[in-house]
Amino acid sequence: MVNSNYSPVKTQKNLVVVDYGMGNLRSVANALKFLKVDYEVSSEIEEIKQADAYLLPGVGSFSNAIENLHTSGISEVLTHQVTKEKKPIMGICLGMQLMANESEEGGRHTGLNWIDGNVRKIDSSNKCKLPHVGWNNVKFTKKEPYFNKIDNSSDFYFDHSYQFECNSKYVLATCDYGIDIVAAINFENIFAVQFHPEKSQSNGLKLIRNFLNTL
Amino acid sequence: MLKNRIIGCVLVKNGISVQSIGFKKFLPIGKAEIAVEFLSDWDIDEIIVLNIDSDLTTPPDFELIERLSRYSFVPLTAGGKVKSTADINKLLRAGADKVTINTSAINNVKFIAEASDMFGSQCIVVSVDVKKINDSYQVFTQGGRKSTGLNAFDHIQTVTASGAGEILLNSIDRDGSKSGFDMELYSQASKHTDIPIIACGGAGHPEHFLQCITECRMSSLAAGNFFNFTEHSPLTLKSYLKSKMINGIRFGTKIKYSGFEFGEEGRVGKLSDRQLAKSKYIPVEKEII
Repeated sequence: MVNSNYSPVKTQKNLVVVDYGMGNLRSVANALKFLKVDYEVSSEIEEIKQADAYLLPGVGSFSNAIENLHTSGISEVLTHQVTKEKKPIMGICLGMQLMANESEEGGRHTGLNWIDGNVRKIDSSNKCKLPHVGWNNVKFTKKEPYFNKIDNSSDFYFDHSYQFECNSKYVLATCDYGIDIVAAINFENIFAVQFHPEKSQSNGLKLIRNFLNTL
Repeated sequence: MLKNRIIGCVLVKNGISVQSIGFKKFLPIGKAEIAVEFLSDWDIDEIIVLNIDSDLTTPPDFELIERLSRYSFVPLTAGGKVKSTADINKLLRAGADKVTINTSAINNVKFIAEASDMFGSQCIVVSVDVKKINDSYQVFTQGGRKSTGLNAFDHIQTVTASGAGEILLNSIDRDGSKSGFDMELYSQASKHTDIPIIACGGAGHPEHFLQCITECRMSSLAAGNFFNFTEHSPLTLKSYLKSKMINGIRFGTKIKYSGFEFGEEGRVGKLSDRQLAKSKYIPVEKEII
C-alpha cells in the first residue's frame, strides 16, 4: 500500500504513549512503528514528566478511564505538562473525550478539564444506529498542519456512542451522522480526534505523521 | 455519511488460516499474516480474526493477535475463547481494537454487561451462530454442534439490552456454501435490535453483497472464503457495488476497477478489445507517509 522508508521525521522528540491501563495501545504502537518513530509506552510518572509530547489513546468507558488516570497519578502530572508546560498532545477517541469537563457515559463523571466541553450520548432520534461505527468522511476547516496532504472529506474509522460537544472555536473537523459530530479539535498545544487514525489506513497514518511533524 | 462496511473474516485453526464449510469441514489456506496483510492493503474496511480451535478450555491466542495486528491498518476484531474481562484487556493490548464474544455471552449474559461497562459497548461484538430448524432460527455453540435451544432473535434482544455494541450474525447453513446471504435471517434480525448487525455466511458472488445491501438494508457485510482466493477481492467487490449505484463505498487506494465486467463466478472479466485499445498505462507512485 504505502511505505515510509525515506520519509522525514523532523525531530526526534521524546514521545510517550500514555498507558493508563486500557486502550488499544498496540494498535497505536504499530502505527508509530510503521512511521519509524521512536516512542515509549509508559505509565511511569517520571517518564511522563520527562516526555516532550504525548499520545493519549483510548478504547474503554469514560468512568473507568478517568478513575485509572486519577488513581495512578497520571492525570495530575499530565494536566500540568499539557496545560502549564504546554507540551503537545494528541488524543484519540476516548483520549479526546477525557479532555472535556464532564461526560455522561455511565453516570456523571468529571473529565480532565482541558477543553471546555461536554461528552454526551449521540442523539439517535434520527434513526442512526449506535454505536457510530465504521468509516465516515471528515470535513475539516483548516488543512495545516494536521490535515496536510489529506483530501478534505477523506474517510476515517469511527467507533463511539458518545460525542464531544464544545464551542465551535475548538472544532477543527466534523463528520455527518444525521447530526454533525465533532471529529477533531484543536486548542493551543492540544490536538484530538474522535476517530481512530491508527486504524484509518494511509489517511490516518498521514494524520499521525502530521502531528509528529509539528513537534 | 457513514459508509457500508465490507469486512474480511480470517478463521484460524491450529495456527493457520482455514476455509470453513458449514462449520464442519476446514481446508487449509496458509499463513494468517498474509491474509491480514492483503486484506488491509486491498481496502477492506475491517478485519475479524476468529480463533476456531476446538479446545475451548484454553485461553485466547494473544500471541496470534499480536503477530497479525502488525499487518492491519484497519480495525481488527479478535474472537474465539474470550471468557473474561482480563482476556479482553489482553487482546486489546495485543493489538485488537474490538473483541467478539460468543459462547460466554450464552453461558453468562451478565458478562456482556460487565465487559461493556469496562471497555465501552463500542468494543464488544457479540457473535451469534444460527441454524434454521423447522422455520425458526436457533443459536448453536461449539462450532455449530451444540444446540442451546435459544431462539436467535430472543438472544439478540438479550445481548443488545446487556450492552453489546454490534452483533456478528453467522449463518451456519450458508457458511462456505457460496449461495448468498440468508436474506430472511437478516431482514428479521434487524427488527429485533437497533445496534449494527454484521451479516456473515454464504457470500459467493458480488451480487450477494448487493442484494443484502439493497433488499435487507444491511450495511455491514462480512465474508471469509469470498476474499481468500482472488487477487484484489475487496477492491473488485467495492468497484462492483459502486457500478451498481451503491453509495457509501469507501475507496482508500488509487486502484479502482471501474469499467470492468464481472463474470458468472463474480470475478473480474476481461476488458473488451475496444476498451483495451482505449486504456493507457498510468504509473502510480507509491505514496510516502
